[in-house]
Amino acid sequence: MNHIQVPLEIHDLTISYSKRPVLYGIDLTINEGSLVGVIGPNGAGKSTLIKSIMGVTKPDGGWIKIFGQSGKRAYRRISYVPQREMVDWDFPVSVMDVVLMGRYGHVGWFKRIRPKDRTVAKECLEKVNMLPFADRQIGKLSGGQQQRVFLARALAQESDLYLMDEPFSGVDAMTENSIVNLLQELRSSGKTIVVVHHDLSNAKEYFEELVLLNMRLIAHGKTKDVFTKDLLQKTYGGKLTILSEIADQSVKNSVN
Amino acid sequence: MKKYVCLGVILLFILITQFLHAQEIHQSSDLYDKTIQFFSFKEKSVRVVITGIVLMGCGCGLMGGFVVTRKLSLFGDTLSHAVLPGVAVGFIWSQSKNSVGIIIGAMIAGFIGVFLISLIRKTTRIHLDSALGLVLSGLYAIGICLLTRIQKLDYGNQSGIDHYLFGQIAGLSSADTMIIGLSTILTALFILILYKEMLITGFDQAFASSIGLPIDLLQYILWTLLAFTVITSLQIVGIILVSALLIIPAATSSLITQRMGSLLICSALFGIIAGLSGCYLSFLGNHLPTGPLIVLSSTSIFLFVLFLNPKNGVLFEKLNFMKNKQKVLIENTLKAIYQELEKKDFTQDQISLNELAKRRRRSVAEVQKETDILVKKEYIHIFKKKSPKLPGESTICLTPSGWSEACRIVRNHRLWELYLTNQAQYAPDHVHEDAEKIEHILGNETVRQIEKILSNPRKDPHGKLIPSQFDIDRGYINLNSK
Amino acid sequence: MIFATQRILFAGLKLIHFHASLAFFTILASCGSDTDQKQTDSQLSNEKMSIVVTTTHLNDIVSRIVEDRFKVVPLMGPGVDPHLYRPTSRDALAISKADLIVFHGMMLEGKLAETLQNSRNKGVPSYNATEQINPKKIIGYSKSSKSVNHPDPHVWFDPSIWSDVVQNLSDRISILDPEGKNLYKSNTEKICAEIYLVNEWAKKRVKEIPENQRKLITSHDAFQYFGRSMGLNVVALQGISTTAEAGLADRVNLVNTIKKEKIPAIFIESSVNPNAINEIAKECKISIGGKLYSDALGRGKDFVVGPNRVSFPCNTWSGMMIHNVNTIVDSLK
Repeated sequence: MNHIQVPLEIHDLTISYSKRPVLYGIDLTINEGSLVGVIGPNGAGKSTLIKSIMGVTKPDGGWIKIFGQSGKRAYRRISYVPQREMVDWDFPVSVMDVVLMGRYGHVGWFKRIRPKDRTVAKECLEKVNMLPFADRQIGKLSGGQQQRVFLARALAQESDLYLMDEPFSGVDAMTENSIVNLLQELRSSGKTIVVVHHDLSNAKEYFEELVLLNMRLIAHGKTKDVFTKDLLQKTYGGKLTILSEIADQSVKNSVN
Repeated sequence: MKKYVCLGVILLFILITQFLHAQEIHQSSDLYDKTIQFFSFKEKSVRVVITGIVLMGCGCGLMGGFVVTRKLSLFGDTLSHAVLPGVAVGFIWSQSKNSVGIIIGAMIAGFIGVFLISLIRKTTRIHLDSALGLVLSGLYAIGICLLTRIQKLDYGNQSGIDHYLFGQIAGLSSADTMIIGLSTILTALFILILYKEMLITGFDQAFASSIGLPIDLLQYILWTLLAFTVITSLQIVGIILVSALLIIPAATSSLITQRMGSLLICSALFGIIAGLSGCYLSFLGNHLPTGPLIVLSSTSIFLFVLFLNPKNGVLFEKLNFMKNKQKVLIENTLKAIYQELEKKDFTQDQISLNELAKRRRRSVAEVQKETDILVKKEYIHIFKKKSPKLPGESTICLTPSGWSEACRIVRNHRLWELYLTNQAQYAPDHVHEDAEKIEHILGNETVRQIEKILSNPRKDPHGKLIPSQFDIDRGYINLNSK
Repeated sequence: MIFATQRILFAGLKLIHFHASLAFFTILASCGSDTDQKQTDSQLSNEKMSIVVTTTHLNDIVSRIVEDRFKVVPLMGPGVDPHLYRPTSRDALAISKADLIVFHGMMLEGKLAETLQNSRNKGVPSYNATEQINPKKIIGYSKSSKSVNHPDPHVWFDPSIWSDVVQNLSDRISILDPEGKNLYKSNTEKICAEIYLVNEWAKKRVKEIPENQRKLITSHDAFQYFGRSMGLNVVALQGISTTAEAGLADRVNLVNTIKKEKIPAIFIESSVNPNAINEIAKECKISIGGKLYSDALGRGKDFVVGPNRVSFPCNTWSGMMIHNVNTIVDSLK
């Protein structure tokens, strides 16, 4: 079984912040070459899921394996495109500098950037139509342009598994198009992509496979199978509010 | 306008106080001798001090690059104050015999300071700036208490410690210079080896940790080097001013460059220049404090760059603004002349000032000023009428260069209007204002593109003729030709 | 890594907390402690009147004048620089309870001015020991043409001025305590006689130095009066106050002077940081002749042998002069 390494395998993952469960008993397996959208309401734990895969948040229970490995060695095979807020936009780096950062994993500590790295960076910038901006300071771009640069950086990492946290939020229509095209292209070349997505209206269109998440895994499968009224209602409201109420109650009790 | 005047006054004030101070005692011939004496490097003291200051300027400049871009400025200030108790304890322990004891004491105090800051941040909800303030004032207060205690001791020699507060150049030994050199070399090595890692941790910490970089470790190394730089610079500029030297050269560089690599290099250069000029100025007179003069020099450099930086210096921005304003004025006047000629179907080649004034909706006097500028630029000729009392009767006609300029501007305007109505679906009555702004900045390249898109049109949305290159070259327009 | 660090932090925290509190309170307590010479507590103050003196020089002569009739409270100890001395809260307390404050004046105790003014406002009598000196005897310091005429305060090195000061002090104390007048008068005469004796001895010793070597180089310009009365040329690195920084130009000028005039030795002072002088000595390849007492006297436990083979403790005027003269003459001979 193990000679086929599954890109992402999550077993019984549980994470809580201040005794309040955010993710509970998640079991998830993503196969190679899938383009998967993760949808759910705000606070459902979507970003937390991604962060725990990246090791930023430590789980309270369960484990995560990436290509059969866990821990630091696993991260080398992942490209992570985080949400854009935590970046220092005034930092004196150009667009090219940022994309080259994607190559650091290949270059290693104490070594210099090689001409080959620059070539790869240029190609990635070309793919997202940002090559003319290569020398511009990163803060001097629009939101959509910045997002494309971060995508180029992720591409430059040349990984096999891509994790993206709401890449479509706050971007213009043209950027959105180029992101979608890029995702399709990656998928065709056999990469695995997991995208946290916030907009229900186009989720059906962009993704062939969906994960419905609201603290628990509601459903995972082909879009045509899981994008149903019943399951969506379960995810976005209705019956599951009882679970969150009980969670609040348990917190109150433990405080008393 | 007011703020420029204020800045200018401040700059002047700083420069004047510097030079007055330095010129306090000497006349010009003496000044010349002193300058030669300083730069000939004959004296050993001068060599030792200059080497120390140049190395310190370089080190502080390089480290300052990180301090400023990573928003650690308050951190640098905190460290410089937090080492005071270490200096005091080191002094007591080594009984002031050598400065190594003091440096070790200061480093330990620095580490304690950093440790306390991390502790406060990790275990409480207090923000970084409050944590820094707490540690800064707390440790500094302990230091002052110790100083007050030390002055009672019979090997007190408290003036030794006062020199750490404000700097004393005269006591700088070769050993001190070597320690400063060591600190600068360590900083330079750190930058060379870990440049990419520092770049990425400064820009995007989440990404950095996602590719497995040990961001905490790198941060501690940076803080340690910062502490070392601060401590070795204390003897020259003193505790109070060392944070200025960390911040100002780097801030100056950030005005002129947007890349980290060149920011570090410029920062080191500015640090060295400030150090040298401060040292030189303090050399010109007796009992002049070197530390403060170095800081004043670096402030002056900052103000110079702020004002005179060709890219976005205050002065140049103002000049550019004025230049643009005049350009817009010229082009609008030419356009008005063209439109008047057009009104007459190009049958005449002259119009009167009255007509121009009416079209420009200005008085004749104002229009006269505008036409004077045009005459200077050789765009028009003015024919003055015999009766000076009716200046409005004078007529103007366009020179060939005036004609091509006028055509160019009218073409830009009308092409843009057409583009907006055709391609961008603007309503024809909305386009005029937009075109008024855009007409002055359309370059030739863009105009060619627009012409291509619109398939070389002849008429604008209002039915007026768009002058083509052919019309321009010909020098006139014949409305009857097709 | 973050978690591991946190655990270590918490474990060490308790231990550190204990030791830190201990250290902190020790420092706090020691901030207020006194030098050897202050008497510890107030039992005696109920009986005797107290005089607070600032410098060690004043402590010396006032103690010898009043003997047991007053409790003399000195603020500064041996080796303390009066230019930079900042008063502690204990000092302020002692000042407020004093029956008389004796200070040097002439801006010597630069940082005490405010405390002294406050005490004056509260009605504590204070006496400026140098106020009544004949102005003609005072060296007006004007190294730069622009600075205000700043008189040189180091008057204790001039025997005739210092005798006058002793006399004036005795008169002032007699006003405060008329009963002890005779005692004060006889002590004053003893002190002045000693000053005269030591002075004559010193001048004879200085003549042992060959005439062209009679140059004295020190950290700060405290020895003008000394030079004037002994016949020595005096040059210094810092000005008359140690608060001013010694600049690069000063250091270079001094080095050039030393080299040009082939001066064999330079001197450090007990109350001033010796770094700069050490550096200059190294650069000129000459030796440090020794440590001189300038703005502060030495310790009572140290003794020097002077005229007629009598030994004097270093915390007296005579001890200071003898030590200085011996050190200087032996190095420059």
